[in-house]
Amino acid sequence: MHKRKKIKKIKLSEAVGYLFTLLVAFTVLVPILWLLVSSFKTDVGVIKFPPRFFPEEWTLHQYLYVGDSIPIFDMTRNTVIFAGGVTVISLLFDSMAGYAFARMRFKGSKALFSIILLTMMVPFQIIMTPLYIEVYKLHLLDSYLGLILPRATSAFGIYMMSSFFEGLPKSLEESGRIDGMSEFRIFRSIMMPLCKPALVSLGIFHFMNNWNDLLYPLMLTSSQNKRTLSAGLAVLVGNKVIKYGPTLAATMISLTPLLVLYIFCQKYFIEGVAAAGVKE
Amino acid sequence: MKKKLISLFLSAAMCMSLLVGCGGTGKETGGQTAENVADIQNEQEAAADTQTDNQAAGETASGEKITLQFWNVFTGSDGDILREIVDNYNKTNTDNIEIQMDIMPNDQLQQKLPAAIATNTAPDFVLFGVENIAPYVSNDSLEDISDFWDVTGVDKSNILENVLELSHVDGKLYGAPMQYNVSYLYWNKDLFREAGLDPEKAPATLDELAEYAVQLTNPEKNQFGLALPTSVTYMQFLWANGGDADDPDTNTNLLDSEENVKTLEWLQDLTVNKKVSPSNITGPEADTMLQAGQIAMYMSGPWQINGLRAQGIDFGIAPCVAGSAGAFSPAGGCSYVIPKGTDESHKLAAYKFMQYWLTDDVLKEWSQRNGFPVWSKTLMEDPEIQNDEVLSAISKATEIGRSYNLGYALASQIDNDVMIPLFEKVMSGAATPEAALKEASEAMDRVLAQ
Amino acid sequence: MANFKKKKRRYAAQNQKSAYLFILPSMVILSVFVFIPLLASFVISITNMNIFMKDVSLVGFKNFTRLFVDSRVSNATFNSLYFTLLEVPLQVGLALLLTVCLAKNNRYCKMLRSIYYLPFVCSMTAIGIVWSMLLDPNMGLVAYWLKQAGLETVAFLKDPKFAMPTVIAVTAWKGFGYTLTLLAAAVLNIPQSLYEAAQMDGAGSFQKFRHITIPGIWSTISFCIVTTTISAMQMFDQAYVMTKGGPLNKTETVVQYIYDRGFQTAPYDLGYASAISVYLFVIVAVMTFVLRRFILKRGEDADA
Repeated sequence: MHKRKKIKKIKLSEAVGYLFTLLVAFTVLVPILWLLVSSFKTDVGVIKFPPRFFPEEWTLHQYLYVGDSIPIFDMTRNTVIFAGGVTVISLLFDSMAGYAFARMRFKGSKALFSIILLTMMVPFQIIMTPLYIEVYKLHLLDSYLGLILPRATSAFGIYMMSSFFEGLPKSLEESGRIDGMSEFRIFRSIMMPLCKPALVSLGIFHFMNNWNDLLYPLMLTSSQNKRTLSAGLAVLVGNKVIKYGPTLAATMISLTPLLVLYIFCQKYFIEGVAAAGVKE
Repeated sequence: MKKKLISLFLSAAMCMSLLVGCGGTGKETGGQTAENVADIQNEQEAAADTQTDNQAAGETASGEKITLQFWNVFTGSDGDILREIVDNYNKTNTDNIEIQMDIMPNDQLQQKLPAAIATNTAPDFVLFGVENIAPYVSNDSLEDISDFWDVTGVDKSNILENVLELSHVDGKLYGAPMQYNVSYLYWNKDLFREAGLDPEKAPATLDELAEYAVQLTNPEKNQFGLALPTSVTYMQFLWANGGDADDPDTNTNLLDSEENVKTLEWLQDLTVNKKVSPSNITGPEADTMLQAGQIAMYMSGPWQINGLRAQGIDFGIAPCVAGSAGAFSPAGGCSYVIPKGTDESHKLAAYKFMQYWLTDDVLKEWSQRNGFPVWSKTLMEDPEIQNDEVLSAISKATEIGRSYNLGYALASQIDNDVMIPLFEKVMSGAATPEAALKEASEAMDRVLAQ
Repeated sequence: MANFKKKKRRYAAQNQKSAYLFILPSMVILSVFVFIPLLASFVISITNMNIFMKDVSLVGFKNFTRLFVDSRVSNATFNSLYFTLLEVPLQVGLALLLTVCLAKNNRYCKMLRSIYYLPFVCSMTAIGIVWSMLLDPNMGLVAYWLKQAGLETVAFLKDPKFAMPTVIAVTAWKGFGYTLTLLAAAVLNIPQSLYEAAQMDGAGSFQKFRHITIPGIWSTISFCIVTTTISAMQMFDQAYVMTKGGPLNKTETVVQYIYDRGFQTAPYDLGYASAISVYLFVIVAVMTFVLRRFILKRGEDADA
C-alpha cells in the first residue's frame, strides 16, 4: 500500500515535470519560429492587422532585398575572422589565467583576481571613447588586429574557467607534479583535455557575443569593407522608418550561422562534464 | 599587502595611461593633439598613397586621384537611392574623385564622429541632420564653408532662404543643403470614406482635427483617429495657438503661458479622455500602423510617402492644421558638412560633390524618388514637379516651416530634458497640464541657465 | 593532511614564476584595454570634458555633487536595482528548477536543454525586436491572441507599471538556458556514487537535492548569481531596443542614463556621464563583493 502510493507520487511529479518543461520549451520556440516564418512574409504581410502567425504568401523578397543592399559575404568573412580570432585567442588566455588563479598559489593572486572581477563591472559605453583613442594611438584602427586584441581575453572567461578548474578534483595535478611535469605540461596534457566541455561552452559564448556585437565593431572600424555582419545589418533598419520585413530577414541571416554552429557543438557541452570521465 | 599591491597597480596603470595619453586633462589632450597633427597627417597621406596605388593600378596616371571618405546616416531605402546617386557620380565625374560611402545608424555616428574628429580620423565629409550642426560648431568641430558659393559658383539665390538658414550658425555657412522638410498631415482616404467624411478634405484647424479624430476612432476595429507618438515635440500645436517653448536668441523661457496651458489641455483631452491615439507608441510603431491602415491621421515627415505607396494605402497630404495664431510646422533637413581637419584638397573635392548635388537634375531625382519637397527656385517652376500631385502638395505645405531651436546649442537638451517629458506626461495623463507645464518650466530654467 | 598542504604550498612557491607567466597575457591585455580606459574615465569624471574633447579643464567634484541632486540618477538607480533584484532570482531560479527536471543525459533532457539554449544564441537586438513586435498591444500577436481568447490584456511594454516586469521577463527568457547549461553540467559532474550512498542511507529526493546537489554545484551557482547580477546592473540593450527607457522613464537604467548624457543629448557631457559611471561602478563593486562574501561563505557552510 505504502509502496504503491510512492510510485504514484513519483509519476505525478514526473508528469508535472514533463508538462512544465514542455511548456517552457513552447514559450521558447514560438517566438523563434515566428521570427523564422515572418522573415518569409511580404511587406504587407509583416504588418497586417489582424496579425497572423504564418505568412499567407511565402516570399524570398526580404532576403533578396538584404542581399542587394549590403555585401553579405564580405561582412560574414569579417565577422568570422573577428569572432573566430577573439574566440581562439581568448580561450587560450582565459583558461591559462583561470587555471593559475584556481590551482596555483602566488603572491597577490587574490588581489589580482579581485581586480579582474572589477573589470567585469565596466559597461562598454563607459570606456568606449578612451578605448577608441587608445586603439587609434596604437595605429590599430580599422584593422582585424585592432578588433581582436582588445577582446583577446575577458574577465568573464577567466572567472568562468577558474570556477571550472576549482571544481576539478584536487589530486589531478599532483600526479603530474610527482611525475615531474612542468606546470605548462600539466596544464596542457592533464587539464586542457578535461575542460573540453567548459571550453566549448565558453567558446560559443565568446563567439556569439562578438558575432552579435554591434557597437564595438562599429566604433573600431571605419570602412564598410571591414564591417561585421551585425553592424552591417543595422544599416537596414531605417533611421526614420523601420522596414520590418528586411529587419526580420537580416536577423535570420545573422542568426543562422550561430544556430548551425550551435547544433554542431551542442553535444560537447550539453552532455556535461561527466562525459570527460572525471571521477573523484 | 593587498592594499599595497592595489595601489602599486593603480599607480602603474596611471603611468601607462599618461604614456598612452588618453588620460586627458585639458592641457594634455590639447598639447598632444597639436603634437600629433603632423604625425597624423603624414600617416593619412601615407594611407591615401597606398590606397591610390591600389586603385590606380588599372588606370592611366591622368591627374591625381582623390578618394573621399563619406559618412552618412541614410539607413533604409533612401540610403539605396543615395548610394545610386553617389555611384553614378563616381562613374561620371571628370575630376578623378572617388567617394567611398559608409552608412551607419545615427546613434552610432554621433558616438563615433566626435572621437574621430578629435583623433583626426574623421571622414572628409559627412551628411547628417541639421540639428547636429550647432553642437558641432560650438565645439569647433566643423569647417566654415562660407566660401562655398564663390569657389563653386553655385547660385545661392536660387535656393530658398529658409532652407539655407538651417545650415548657418552665427551668419557663417557650415553645411550645403541636401534635403529639407517639415511635418505634414497624412490621412487615410479609405478610413475617411468609411467614417462618412469627405476623403478629399483634410482637417484645417485644431478643432476640426479633434473632431475628425474622434469620428475616425473605432476601438472595435483597433482603429485610431490620430496617432500621437511619444518622444516627439508637438511644437506645431503650441505654435498654432500662439505659444512657444523658448527664444534661442535671448535665452528666454516662454513655456509658462496661458496659450500653452490651453493647447496642452486640448491635447490631454484627445489622448486621455477621447483616446484617439494608441498610448505610448513610438514613431516607427505609428508608421507601421499607418501603413497597415489602422490609423486615420498622422503628422510626420516626407519619409512616409514611399512606405505608404508600397503598402498601397490611398492617402492624402496636407499642411499641419491651424489654430488661433495660424499654422506652423517645425522644419528640419539634412546637410553635407566637412569635419575639422579635412585637408584643403579633399575639402575642395567635397565641394565638387556638393555642387553636383545642388544641380537641378540631382535634386529633382532625389525629390521624385523619395518624395521630398523641392526648394530650388528653378526646380519649383519645373512642369514635371508642378504636375506631380504629391510633390506639389508637400512643396506647398513647406511654406509654413518654422525653425525650432535650430542652430541653438542647447536644442537637444531642451528637447530631451524639457519638451519630450512634458508632452509624455500630458499625453499619458501622468500629470495635469498645469503641473506638467510648471515642472517643465523649471527644467527649462535649469537648462537655459547653462 | 597538514603536511601535505605544506608541501603543496612549498611546491607552489617554487612555481610562482610560472603562475605569473600563466596570467601575463591576460593581465597585459586587460591593463591596456580595460584598466587604462577605465582610469581615463575616472579622470574624465572630474573634468568638464565633452565628446569633442576640446577646452577641457578640471572641475573637481562638481559632477559628483550634481549627480546626487539629479532626480533622474535616483530614478535610474531604482530601476537598475528593481531590475536586478527581480531578474537574477527569476533567471537563476528558473534555471535551477529546470535543472532538477532535466539533469539526466537521456535524449529528452538533452533535446530540451538545447532548445532552452536557443534564445541565448540570438542577439539582444533580435530578441528585442521580436518581442516588442509580438507584445505590441495594438498590432502584436500575443495581445491579439489574448483578446481573441477573451482575456484581459495589459499593454506590456507600453504600460508604465508593466514595462519593467516585461523587460525582466524577456531578459530572463533569453538567459535562463545558458544558466541551465552551466548548472546541468555541474550537476552531471557530481559523482553518482554520492547519490547511491545517500540512497542507502534512506535519503529522499529532496534531501538528496539539498545535501548533495546544492553543495556539489554551489561554486557554479555562485558564479551564475554573480555574473548575472553584474550584467543585470549593466542592463542597457534590452531597454534600448524595446522601450528606450520609457514610458515615463520607468525602464531607464543607470547605463542608459549615462549613454543619454554622454552620447545622445548635446552638449554630450562626458564628464558628467563618467561621474555617473564611477558611481555605478562603485555600486556594482560593493554589491559583487558583498554577494561573493555571502554566497562563498554559504558555500563553505554547505560543504561542511
